[in-house]
Amino acid sequence: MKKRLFLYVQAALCVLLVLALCAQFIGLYREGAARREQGEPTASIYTREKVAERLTSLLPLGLLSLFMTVIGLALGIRDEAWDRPTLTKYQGRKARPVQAPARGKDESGIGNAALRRALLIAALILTVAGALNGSLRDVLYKAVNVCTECVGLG
Amino acid sequence: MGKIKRWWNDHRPTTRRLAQLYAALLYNAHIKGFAEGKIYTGNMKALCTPGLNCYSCPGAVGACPLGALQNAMASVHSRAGYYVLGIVLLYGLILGRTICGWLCPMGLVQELLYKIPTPKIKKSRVTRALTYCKYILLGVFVLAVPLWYGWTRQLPLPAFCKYICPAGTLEGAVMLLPHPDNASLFSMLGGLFTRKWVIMLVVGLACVFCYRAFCRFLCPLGAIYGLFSRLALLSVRGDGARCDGCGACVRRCPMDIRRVGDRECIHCARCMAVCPQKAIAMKAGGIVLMAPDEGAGQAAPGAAKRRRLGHVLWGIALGVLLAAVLWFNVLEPAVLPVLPLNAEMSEGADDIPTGYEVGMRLPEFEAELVGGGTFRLADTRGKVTMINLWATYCAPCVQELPSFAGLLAQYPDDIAVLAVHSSLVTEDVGEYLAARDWAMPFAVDTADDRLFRLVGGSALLPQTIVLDRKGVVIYNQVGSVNDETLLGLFQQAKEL
Repeated sequence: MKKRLFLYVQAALCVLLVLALCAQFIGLYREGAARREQGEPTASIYTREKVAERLTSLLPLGLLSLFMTVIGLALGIRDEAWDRPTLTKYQGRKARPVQAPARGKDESGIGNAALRRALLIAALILTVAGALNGSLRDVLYKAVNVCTECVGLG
Repeated sequence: MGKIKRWWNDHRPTTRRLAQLYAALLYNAHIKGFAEGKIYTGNMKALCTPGLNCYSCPGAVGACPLGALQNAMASVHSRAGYYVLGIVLLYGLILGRTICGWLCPMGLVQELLYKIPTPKIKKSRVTRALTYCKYILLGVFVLAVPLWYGWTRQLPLPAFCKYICPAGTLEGAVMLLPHPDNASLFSMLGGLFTRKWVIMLVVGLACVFCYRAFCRFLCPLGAIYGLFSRLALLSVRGDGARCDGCGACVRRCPMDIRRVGDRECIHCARCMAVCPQKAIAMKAGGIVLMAPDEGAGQAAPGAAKRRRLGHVLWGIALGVLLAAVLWFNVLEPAVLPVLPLNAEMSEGADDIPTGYEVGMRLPEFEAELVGGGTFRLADTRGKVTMINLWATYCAPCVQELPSFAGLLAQYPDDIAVLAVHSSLVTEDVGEYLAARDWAMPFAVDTADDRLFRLVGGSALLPQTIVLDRKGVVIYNQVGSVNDETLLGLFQQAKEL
């Protein structure tokens, strides 16, 4: 019972922490967007100081959640139901056994070795063709420049 | 002492956990990137890593296959992305979803989050149905949208990275932002960051309650590798002669599998221990890599030999990791040299220091224009000057260029504009511009990145620099700008 209560308290803390983090950042965004609408088009929506301030306000909650996690892990508290077998359509009746390998298939009985070989050769040809046609260089050039939009910076 | 030993036996990392940790460290061997707040820009970044690892992470030394695939789709109008298709096919055929279980840093993060002690959501018909979401995301966000925008508008739009990928937010944005040198990045954060921040937190929370929630329901890379489940060389397989179909493997598996080795199986090999028939083993082709003990203290056939081989392989792997850390942090020169030119410059005659930071006078330069002609900074005195750093493969760059052209058309006597393409060119910039009606001067940076260095350019695109009528920098920031922002900057510069 105590373990279960611990798990629920920790779950509540996690949800609360995530909600608070979301709310703080959405709040910051709305404040900044309002400032921009009021005639400051170049005003920063987020600033280092404001983000730090908001995160600091959530520090106690974060630390409490971390503390609970450490305690839970150290004491081995976990959802015992996790270790029980899952109810699936297989429970209560026999599942289909693994098939014996069929003729022309590999030993797992689920793949075709010839197809695999053909695709492996195709993959190697494509990779070499990519190195020759410049798509390898494209990958490099795109990877060494941070596309700010792609990582969510804006 | 006994208690500690027992605790250690219960909690010591498994071979799979060590492999996950190893892969995460190897993919992110550019450790000094975290300290400097800068990404790795060496040649090795052309190589795609097998697992999901954002290439904008300061530590990343390889390219993310998913990001590279989206960019290949987006640039299909100019060049077929054979390399990415080939390497993804190769990884899928050799490793399949073993990558998800053993070699994916995001998988490791999800499993660590799942360790937080809370009530857990077990798999069910609902979670099984949700696994199809990742195929929808693969089709729409990774293939269709980038292909559509690339083909019809020549606009590179890696939609999954931009709108969904929590790995990009976590490894790219969140890792870059805290560094003091990147303080200016905060100015570009807005709605997109807020959305992605919320998505990252929600996905993270889902992973606390639900085993590998991102991997099972959202990851398009897992969906791709899942397609190779019948073909992958390395996989966990059942022995047809031994299996009696009891279904223990399926019931005890935390993933939404219907049988061992299917598209949802990540080959973690956990089922080996629960199979009463000892019918499951991890194999590479016909070679047994991992097999269960036969019980009653009797090891599986060849176990001692495999253990010895395992030790040798771990030794080699550690050697590779050490060599990688040394190479990426000490030995290899970067593709993009970051040379601060401010320090080399002297003060001007009117006591205004020369440099690219706000309040400094930008040094004079000339640039050869695409299509002929020369841009001379000295000729722009008396006008507000806007310099934009861009690349054809950067979606926000391409989207904001019409704003510069529009402003120039509106105030031709008061504004001078120059758009400088990165020296890293993936297609003919002249041809690219000829297909568009952006009436403004364009230049391509020299191989030694002279123009980028003069204005303080970096590996982050786009970047805009605004000079007042005297040539003094009043704005120099990475990030997108829109019509309103540019007009505001113009008004501000004009008044100075």
